[in-house]
Amino acid sequence: MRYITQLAGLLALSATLILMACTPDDPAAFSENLRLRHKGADMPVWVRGNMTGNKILLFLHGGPGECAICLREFFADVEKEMAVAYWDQRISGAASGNADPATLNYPQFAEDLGMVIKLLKTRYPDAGIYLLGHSFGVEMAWQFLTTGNNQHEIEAFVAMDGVYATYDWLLQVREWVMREAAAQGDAEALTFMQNHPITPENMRTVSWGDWYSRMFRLGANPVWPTDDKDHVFYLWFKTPGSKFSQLANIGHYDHYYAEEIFTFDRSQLLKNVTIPVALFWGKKDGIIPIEMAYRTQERLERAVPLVVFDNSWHSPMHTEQAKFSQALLDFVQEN
Amino acid sequence: MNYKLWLAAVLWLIVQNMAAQQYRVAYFGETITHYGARAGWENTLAANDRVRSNGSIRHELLFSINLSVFRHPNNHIGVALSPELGWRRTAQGGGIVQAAISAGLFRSFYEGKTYRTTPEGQLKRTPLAGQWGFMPGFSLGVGRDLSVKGNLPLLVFANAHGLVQYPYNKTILLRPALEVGVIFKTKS
Repeated sequence: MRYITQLAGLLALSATLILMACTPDDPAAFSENLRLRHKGADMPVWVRGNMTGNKILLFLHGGPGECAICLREFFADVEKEMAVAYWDQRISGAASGNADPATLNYPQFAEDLGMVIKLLKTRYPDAGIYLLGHSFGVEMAWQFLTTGNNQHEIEAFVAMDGVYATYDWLLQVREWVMREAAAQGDAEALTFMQNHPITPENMRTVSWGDWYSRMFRLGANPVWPTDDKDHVFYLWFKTPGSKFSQLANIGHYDHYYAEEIFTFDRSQLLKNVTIPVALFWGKKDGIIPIEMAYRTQERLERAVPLVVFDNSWHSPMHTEQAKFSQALLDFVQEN
Repeated sequence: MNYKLWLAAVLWLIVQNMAAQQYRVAYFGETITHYGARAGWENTLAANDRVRSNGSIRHELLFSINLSVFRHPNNHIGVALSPELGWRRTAQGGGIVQAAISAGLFRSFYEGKTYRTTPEGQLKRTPLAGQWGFMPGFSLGVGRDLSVKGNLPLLVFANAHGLVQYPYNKTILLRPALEVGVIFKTKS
């Protein structure tokens, strides 16, 4: 009898595990899983939300190497009004395949973006595509939009806390660190930056660890989604990918940070962008200071609105979700 | 890799099944939300009994073939065929500890619609798209042999697996997994 009880217990445990494992149907009004196989990468694109208006927001995640679908919870209000396409880029997030790390370069990023747009247009020929770039995703978007006639493939672009040229960015970060160091009485950080001026010739010698440690010490971005236990639970158990896939990908970006990132400069090409653009920026961002937004405005020939998030750092969609959602939907509505 | 490899693997499975001494079925998943199942055939290659005053302790060298199917919702379904070499110690009271190493042939099937780009830059729908790979690993587990102090020809067990998928973006992907199941003993 004891063994029957043990067996019954085991079966009950198994049944419980399986029942707990069953993911409920996606609550989104529209839900489709797509994947693009391109140059070694099998990149997932999850389309979720409201498709009745035939508008799709293509979210370009940051990093490089982060993920899009893992930030989905911050787009809940946006999904009620329009569809959102969450694309995990090559060697990022839940993207699989056997992509060569040598393909982690700006021309390839832009080419991938072009193919994802083509995929969305193939699946949803009547839909208008809007881009939202965050951090590195802005770089990818500028690379794409300033290449050929690509900009006419989309309706409009929202650039959020991202840059158009690495050198200009480093200049602004250095200024931000010196300004904050002086204000906060951090003599070490101030001296460090004073001793490390940036020029186009020497920027490849930047020690990322030295820069970022001082940036974060001065409050460049003190709030992360992963500070929230619920978000961490979501990452581990509710996202389609595996956290281990991101760990596997980390090492592939060494060349990018050693070489490729310093090739990025679209500063002279921004003037050619004629589609509607909006800039969203966290006022307190020290990773990509708001001065970069002003520089971006200066380089774009058409006037572009700047939406400032006073209580945000690098990720306004996280720290001011309601304002972010409303501003985004308003911009899409107008364009 | 092609269908011939799979055909050979299936034939091997059939041969193993004919000679099988034990069958196993289990829950198998990376987490409770990335779930699956595992079934297999198990043979005892060698056994050694050490008699004690209160019973005997049995050490076994085992060979098994296992088929695992698991799902990462909204991502892919994974299928792995894994020959496994294992060791099991069964104590006087029926408690078992076990360890195993395995090779593995892996295939994923992406959920949703996959499109590949052609050399001309066009998109072409690719049915049953996924990824081939190898998935070796190891496992450690505990359990109880219910036949030792009773007459139920069953083992209940739980194994923790450390699996690696290769290739994955020119590197390996760690895939830990939990297995909880039953082994049915058909021969003594």
